[in-house]
Amino acid sequence: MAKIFCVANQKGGVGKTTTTVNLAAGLAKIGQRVLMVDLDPQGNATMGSGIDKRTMPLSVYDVLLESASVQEAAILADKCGYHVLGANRDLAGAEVELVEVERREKRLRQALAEVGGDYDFVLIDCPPSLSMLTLNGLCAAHGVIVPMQCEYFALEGLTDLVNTIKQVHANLNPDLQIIGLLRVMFDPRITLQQQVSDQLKTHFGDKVFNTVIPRNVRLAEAPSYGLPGVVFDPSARGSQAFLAFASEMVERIRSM
Amino acid sequence: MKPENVLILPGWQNSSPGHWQSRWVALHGWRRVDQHDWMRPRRGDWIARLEDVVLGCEGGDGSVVLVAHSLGCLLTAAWAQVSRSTARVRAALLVAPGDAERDELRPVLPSWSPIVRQRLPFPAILVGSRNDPYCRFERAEGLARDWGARFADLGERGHINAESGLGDWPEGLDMMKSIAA
Repeated sequence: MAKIFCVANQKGGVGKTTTTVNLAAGLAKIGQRVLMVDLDPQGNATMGSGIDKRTMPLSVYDVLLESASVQEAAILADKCGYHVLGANRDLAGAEVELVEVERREKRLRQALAEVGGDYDFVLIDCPPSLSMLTLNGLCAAHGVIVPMQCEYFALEGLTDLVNTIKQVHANLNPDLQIIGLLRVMFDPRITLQQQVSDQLKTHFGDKVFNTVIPRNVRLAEAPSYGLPGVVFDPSARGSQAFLAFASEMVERIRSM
Repeated sequence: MKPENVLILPGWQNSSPGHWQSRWVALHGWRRVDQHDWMRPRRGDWIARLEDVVLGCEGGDGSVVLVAHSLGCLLTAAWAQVSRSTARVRAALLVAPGDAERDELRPVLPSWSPIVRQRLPFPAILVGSRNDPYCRFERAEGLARDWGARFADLGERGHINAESGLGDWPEGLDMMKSIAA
């Protein structure tokens, strides 16, 4: 059965989408069957996987509204090697349309249960706000991957996320746990980043992934070509780091 | 009521400058609810946008009047079915609803069919035309019945848009005022 992970952080601009699409592509490259779910109405993870969010016939919105199944709505991103359950602005409507619906935060969980045997990994790119959409992601997941920049305010955002996860764990999804913190956009030349990185290791120990994703211009360029960096330029340092991270994830899941 | 609380809801591809809706915006300072994508209207996106605008309406008791044309009428019905803010709507004028269930429109407006037919929780008038190319007269009457709207027969006025030669359409304005008073 598929292991389902949210890539989440309530702070914006920390590299959630970059992490999601590159981890998806990295896992696909090492032979894993992957579904990437975009839960952000901005649809950046969709576009970053080479799927045009404006012309998709069906999206995760239709799945949440139960007018389509995951199997019907998922599209193969053929250059990337994984399936995409995409998002576009329609998804913002789900916040309004599901407001009176019972168990609305479990819609994605129910839908993914039907395709659990088709994938090894499901990765969910969450929006930065704590919305009904994020709750759907957290209710569906076995764990959360938290990308973090090693900056002064990084830990502040983490406190909010940890509290949210605790509440979801207690009330909605007892399976949910933090799988690990991933240090991203890391620049070892900046002393503060090194210090924050060390602090993270001290506080969170094994919960910090060994892999560190460096700041890398090729990763930043890749979305404009509609590709994850891992596919756009596999030899780039950032891409190599995501491939290493994919292997680390597989190892970590084995021991879960 | 503040002029910004009269919300103009155009249909697919927006209303052109000569359309009575655009004229009413220019004449009265009413607010056009601008959608993100007029060419590829997505129901969820349009509902979320209308909800945002309604919630943002301030002044007086915060009540609003909806003035919809074509797909804007279907938006009104779809939004009213799910929103918690419908009590803020004083009334709605629904003009020439587009029939998204027609064979030629289903592929281009995929998320709009079936049309939401739940009774509207606010007073409404639906204005239909006998030679509307986007909605048969009987279908418009049926929508008015389902939505609980009073039906007004405008005769042969096409899609009741810029091509219908209505100018500032004072007759429509009177209808709107009659229910919004």
